[in-house]
Amino acid sequence: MTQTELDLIHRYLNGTIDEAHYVRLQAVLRDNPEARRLLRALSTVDAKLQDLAAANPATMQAFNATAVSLRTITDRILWLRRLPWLVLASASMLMVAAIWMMGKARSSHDGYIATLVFADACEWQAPVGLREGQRLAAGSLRLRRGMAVLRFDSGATVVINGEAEAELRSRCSALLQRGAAVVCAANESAGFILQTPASDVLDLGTEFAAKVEPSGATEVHVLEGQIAYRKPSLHGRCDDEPAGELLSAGQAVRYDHPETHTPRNVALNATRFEQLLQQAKFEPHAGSLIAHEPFAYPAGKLPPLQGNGGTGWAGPWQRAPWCKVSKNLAGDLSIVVSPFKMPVPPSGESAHILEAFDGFQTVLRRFARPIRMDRNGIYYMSGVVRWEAVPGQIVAGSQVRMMLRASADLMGEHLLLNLPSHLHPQIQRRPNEVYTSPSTVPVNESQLWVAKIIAQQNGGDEMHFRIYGEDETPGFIEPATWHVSVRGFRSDARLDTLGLSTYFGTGRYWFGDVRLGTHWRSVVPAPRMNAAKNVTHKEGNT
Amino acid sequence: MRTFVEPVNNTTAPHAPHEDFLRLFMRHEAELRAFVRACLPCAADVDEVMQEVSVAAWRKFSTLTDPSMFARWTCVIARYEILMFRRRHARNRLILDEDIIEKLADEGIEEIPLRHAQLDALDHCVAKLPRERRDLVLAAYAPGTSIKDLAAQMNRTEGSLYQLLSRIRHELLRCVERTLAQGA
Repeated sequence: MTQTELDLIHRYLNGTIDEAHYVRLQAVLRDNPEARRLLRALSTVDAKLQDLAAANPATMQAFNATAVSLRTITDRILWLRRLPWLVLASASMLMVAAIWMMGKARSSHDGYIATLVFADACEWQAPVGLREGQRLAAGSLRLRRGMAVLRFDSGATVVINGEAEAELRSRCSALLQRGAAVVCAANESAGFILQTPASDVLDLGTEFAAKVEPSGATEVHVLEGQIAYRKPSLHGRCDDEPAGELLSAGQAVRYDHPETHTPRNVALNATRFEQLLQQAKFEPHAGSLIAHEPFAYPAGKLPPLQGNGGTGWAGPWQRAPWCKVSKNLAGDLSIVVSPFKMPVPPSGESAHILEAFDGFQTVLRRFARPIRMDRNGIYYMSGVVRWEAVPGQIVAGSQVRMMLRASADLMGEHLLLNLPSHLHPQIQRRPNEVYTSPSTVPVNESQLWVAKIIAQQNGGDEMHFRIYGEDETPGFIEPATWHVSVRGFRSDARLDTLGLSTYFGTGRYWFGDVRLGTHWRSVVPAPRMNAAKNVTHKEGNT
Repeated sequence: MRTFVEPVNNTTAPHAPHEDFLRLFMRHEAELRAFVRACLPCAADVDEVMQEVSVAAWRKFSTLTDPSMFARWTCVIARYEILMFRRRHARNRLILDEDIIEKLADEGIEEIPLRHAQLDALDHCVAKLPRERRDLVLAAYAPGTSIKDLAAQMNRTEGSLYQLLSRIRHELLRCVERTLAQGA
């Protein structure tokens, strides 16, 4: 082995190898058994160091700027969620396995572990200025008053109600230091661990409440399913730790003091997740709707310049400058009364929608309050879209789109939602940067398209896109699952133009009720939110 | 139902299959991870394959007749899962060619006892590292660590930190080889 060949192996293990060196490394590995032996031996060193580092928070604290340590969790806890057998296993084995995996876990790529999906009259002490929709990293959370719903990336949903102090530790664990919380971790999000000063509580696919008094006295109430609990222990390997105890629905225990070793039984006295949410106010926040186009124009042809209804717009609709005007329509838009079942309730007596065929191409409209991707902000966009076509006969290349562009550079950077002919929803940032969902959606139904955009001043922007079909009800809080998500990109664009587009149009298309806002509830209409309360927290996980 | 008990954990009560599986998996996880790591350059990819391996191994656990073969058996499953992972992702990532993965895996399966000994020796070798180096390398390998941030904190360049980590890794391997040679 030459030093150069050895360097190739180290670059490979460091994850810093480029394509050219990769080709050379492959040639070396293919022909040289000693190189392969060395790679396996150095990989063993590498795996051991990862193992030791994950189980050694004290050492990591020496480098506190980078030490995320046990507060962050890892993809490896996913093992727990993806092993249905573990839910059936004994509580003790499950507790050992869960904490063992958590202790060795790795952090998510962007450092975020949860999302604040709902906040009602919240007054935060820390972090200051938390906003609904905001992604949360590991760290402290202090709520002075109000109700907050957090969705952890593992899928577990936690309601904090009233004065509370907590520490978000990982995508599937949190420490409740004071206050009350209800944890709902159904099915595959089972395995969420809520730590308290007196006990660790492992959710086995259920719903439970925990209350921690200022003295540290702690109560755990099981509202549904089963939990396992045990004295706190999160340091080091847990193979030798004592087993956890099981507690089933209807049971509750109390530790009168954090040092109490064995809790006593108490009567169940906790409010269920749904009941808590029913106490909350779901009206959209005042001023959270940036722009709204209900297409409440008289049915018939509509010259674009007369398309200036709705709220929050800086001008009327106009055809995109790159469009060739159809002879049939002479540039007019076409408004019809919707003959379809609409996924959102109409603003007036009947829903008017924009017909988009016969050479429709692209229409644009500027909104007054731009989306600044160079500043911190959270935005949502929704719109009704219907594409009628014969399945199996959709011409390749045809597609329907909603997009956000910059009026200063219409052909420049953009954020685009697309349903192409293969019917896999897509997000596009640039012509050659397309992200495609593994799922397909059907045509011939009225869909509600919803997108979430997280703009970050220092990069790490995100965009998520979900299509709701006619048989799906959007929840009153944003979904746990999106059709396609893009994270970690950087954009400084100033997006102030909405576009609706059909491309190589085959079939017939309609658009309706387009909204832009800063909250989920400002773009997902209220009547459906109430209907969805019962199902929201039971949605699947990303 | 067949039950088996690991020699070192010999107890009188038979274990449920999931307990047997969990014990065996936890015992051999480090060897398995090292095996997968050699074939995949990205830690997140290793995690993904490890998940698939754990699920597949559990599903097939009832077919394992000899628990002493667990490590070899899971490595065979891992070999298959690595190749499946490669087929799913080779177009958009730098992943070794299939023939190289097969060679690495086939030879790696034969080295399972050696891997076990290497991992044991590493406990001793890491403990012997000077404190400063040990803290550095464990910080670098800690969950969520950014090498860029760590380098900035140490007033080093990212490249020089990677070089230092490579040297420490190689020192550890030499220590392992010396330790195993002395014990032979």
